[in-house]
Amino acid sequence: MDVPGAFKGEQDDFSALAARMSLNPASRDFKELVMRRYNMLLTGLLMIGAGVYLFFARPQILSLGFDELAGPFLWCVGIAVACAAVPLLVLRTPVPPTGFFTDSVAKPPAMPSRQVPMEVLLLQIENHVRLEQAAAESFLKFPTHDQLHSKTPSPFVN
Amino acid sequence: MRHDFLNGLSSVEAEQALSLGTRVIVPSETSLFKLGDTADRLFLVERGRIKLTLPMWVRGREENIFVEERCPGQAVGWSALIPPYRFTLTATATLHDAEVTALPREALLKHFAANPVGGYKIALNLAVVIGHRLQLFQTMWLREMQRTVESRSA
Repeated sequence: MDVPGAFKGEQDDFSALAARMSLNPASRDFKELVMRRYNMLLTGLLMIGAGVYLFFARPQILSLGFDELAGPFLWCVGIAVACAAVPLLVLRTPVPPTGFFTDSVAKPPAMPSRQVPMEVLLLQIENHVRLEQAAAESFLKFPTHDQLHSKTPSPFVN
Repeated sequence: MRHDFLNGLSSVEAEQALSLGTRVIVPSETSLFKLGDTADRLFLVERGRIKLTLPMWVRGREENIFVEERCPGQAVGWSALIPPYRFTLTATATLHDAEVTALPREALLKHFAANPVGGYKIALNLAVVIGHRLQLFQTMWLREMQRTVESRSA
């Protein structure tokens, strides 16, 4: 069954949105929420279609009287389900998670700590400062562009 | 020992200036002065090394981060001659004891007033020390800015 035009456009937009959001496990809830609402509408429309078919086509394979009862039942329930789905889609457009663009990057999985001890880190910082000072001194003695932006072996800049 | 701060002075003038101060032993890992302290004395390093540091937050705690090291013959604490007379760094003796000559500001200013020529030479030496520090940190700042710009625009 084709989705009505208005929904199709939304669905296209949503597909693009969902494709981006699928990068983020946290956004799956948002995607599922929207899909559930579309599914509800589709289910309602299918039930209406099935009810209409049973009531008017009267297929021979079904027992006598079943189509007279099941057709209107499916029809009515289908309308009810579709009616319930429409306001959910129209009035309560799902809001993307807060900070979508900033929070959409998946957090790296927790890794075992590989931090260097504080004393080592402080020594690395001191070494970095000394290397930077030496580089700055070189520039002051021979001020050239290359000297100004010369690289040091400091782990903080490599 | 020849001090940078006394460059250009005759040995007599240098002796006169040094006689204004007192020798101070700074035990290893002990602070000579701390950031924010009132700066009323200028120090000339005679022996050992003095480490200059600034506080920085590292992993949630404050650490004194190495900024510069002063060797024998160099001056420390020129904030004593520059308003508002507060030290802008913390100075600590390194692994070995250090010895400095502490020159009180008041005595120095009186000496400069009484000996303008000597005072002028010392002021020029002070300008060299300050100017060098400015150029050095200006260069370091620019190098750091360059890296920041590169990392932000990458």
